[in-house]
Amino acid sequence: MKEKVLKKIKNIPAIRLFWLSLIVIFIIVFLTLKVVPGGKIVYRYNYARKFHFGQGFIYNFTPQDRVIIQSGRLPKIIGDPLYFSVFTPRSFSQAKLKLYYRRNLDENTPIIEAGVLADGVVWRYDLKPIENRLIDNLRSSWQVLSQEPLVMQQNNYYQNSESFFSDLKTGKLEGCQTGKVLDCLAVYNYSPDLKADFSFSKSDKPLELNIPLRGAHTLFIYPENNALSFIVTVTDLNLDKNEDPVKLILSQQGKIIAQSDLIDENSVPSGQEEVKTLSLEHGIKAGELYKLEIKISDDVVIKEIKSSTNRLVFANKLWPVSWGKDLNIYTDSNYLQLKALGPASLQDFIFNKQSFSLSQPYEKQEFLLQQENNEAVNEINLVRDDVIIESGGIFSFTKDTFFNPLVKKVDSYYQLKPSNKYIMADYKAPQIYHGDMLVNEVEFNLQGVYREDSKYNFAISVPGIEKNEANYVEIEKIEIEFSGRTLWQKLFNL
Amino acid sequence: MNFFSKRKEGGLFVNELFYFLLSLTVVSIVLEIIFPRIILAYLNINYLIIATTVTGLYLLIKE
Repeated sequence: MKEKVLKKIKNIPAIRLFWLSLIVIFIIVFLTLKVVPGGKIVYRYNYARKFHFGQGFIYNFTPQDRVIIQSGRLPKIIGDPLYFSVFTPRSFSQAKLKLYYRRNLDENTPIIEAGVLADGVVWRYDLKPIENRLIDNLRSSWQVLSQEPLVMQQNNYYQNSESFFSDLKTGKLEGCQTGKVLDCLAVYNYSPDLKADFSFSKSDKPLELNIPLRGAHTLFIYPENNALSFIVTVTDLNLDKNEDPVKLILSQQGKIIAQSDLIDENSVPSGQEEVKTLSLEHGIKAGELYKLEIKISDDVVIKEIKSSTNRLVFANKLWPVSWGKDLNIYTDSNYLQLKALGPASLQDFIFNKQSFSLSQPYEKQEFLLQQENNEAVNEINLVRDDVIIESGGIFSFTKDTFFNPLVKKVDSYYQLKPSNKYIMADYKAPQIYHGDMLVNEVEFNLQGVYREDSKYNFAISVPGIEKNEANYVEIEKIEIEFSGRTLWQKLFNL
Repeated sequence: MNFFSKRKEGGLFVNELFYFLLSLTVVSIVLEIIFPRIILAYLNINYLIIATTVTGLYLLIKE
């Protein structure tokens, strides 16, 4: 017996070696999970599972008033948008998000999208489609010409997608009035290569716009001259401690042509205003459409814009502040989303001769024109500023130089009209996972995307979900496959 | 005698298990400090700490 015990004691080094090896393997495994040498890894969270061994990589949904989380039940989205962050031990260049969900949405809430926070300064999410029931419903009655991109036609205008794309390039489509391609085409998550062709009653001249505008704004310009001069005077309010750089980005068809930057040294004490000027001058082609982004945070106000062309319009958003007078704004949109930034901005206002009341501070309110508008351009008359004005369309301060280069979007405000003959989309319908559970996957390019504290920020957007209390989207599982450079590529800088 | 030797073997096993769990807990905490969140994402260290404590208490009581 003593021998057996002695034998056991002699085996202790072997046992110790065994569990020390396990510890070394444990360290190697976690270092591998930290470095991700293969360049690809999948992080998932299954909300249907009751027990989770670890915290997971996908963090909780916020804000909490937009989601119902009950023990033993799947989280229910009831507000828009909903955010969540994903911790990654290293950075990646691409992400594929797979969403497993069940929805109970009325016909006024046809869209579900997911996005990644692309820009931390202007707080812009790069949203991609998860589901668009407007397009899915049209598949049964419209003809599908092409799957990638999705091209659908109302009638049998084209036999194949080649002839469609060939005609699209010339700006003439079958069934559409000459020069009115924008009227008969609608898009979703897609930017068609269209030649801009706008006419104006008066010739182009320089513009000085001194209505203060707060935060980032996007403009489209369609100049008559071959040289662009754009000077922006801004006031950095320094209300927060963050740096407030100013960027002017001139682009065409998604390609950046010129850029001007003003770095913020952040040396001025908090609360003390700073006035800065940034200019952008570049040779351009007359009669072509350009996009100009004024990229600033909400802590910066555009005091003045001096432009060599007055043919400029604002896309999707305007935030006039500190004007102190009535504001007359023109838009082609038949709906508006307004948010008053304080009780002092609440007001009754006129939108296309109809009276509306902006009555809730700090909340986004929606206003829809009651009847079909025969005017191409609607007028908005505000009596107070510090209101964020948003829509899917264009805004301008003058009616003479108004133009809309944006193609109609198949979004929750889209109304199918007889003149709409074609739909183009970069979209795949969700698949049935099991029962009424659906699944769809979207891809994001993560290069240059905002990442803080080792986390990527994502959002799930269901526009209009809060309009009906019965609306909800239940999430069963989120899977995100990240991919990037392998260890080999990083070491040899490939 | 058999009973006594089996108890000693069992005690040695629990002893080694305790050392292993304690080392694993320390290594996990150190890795978590150096690379925040990487351990907690996969493993709740509390379970390790509980297992280490239970084996430690068992050894103390047994002694």
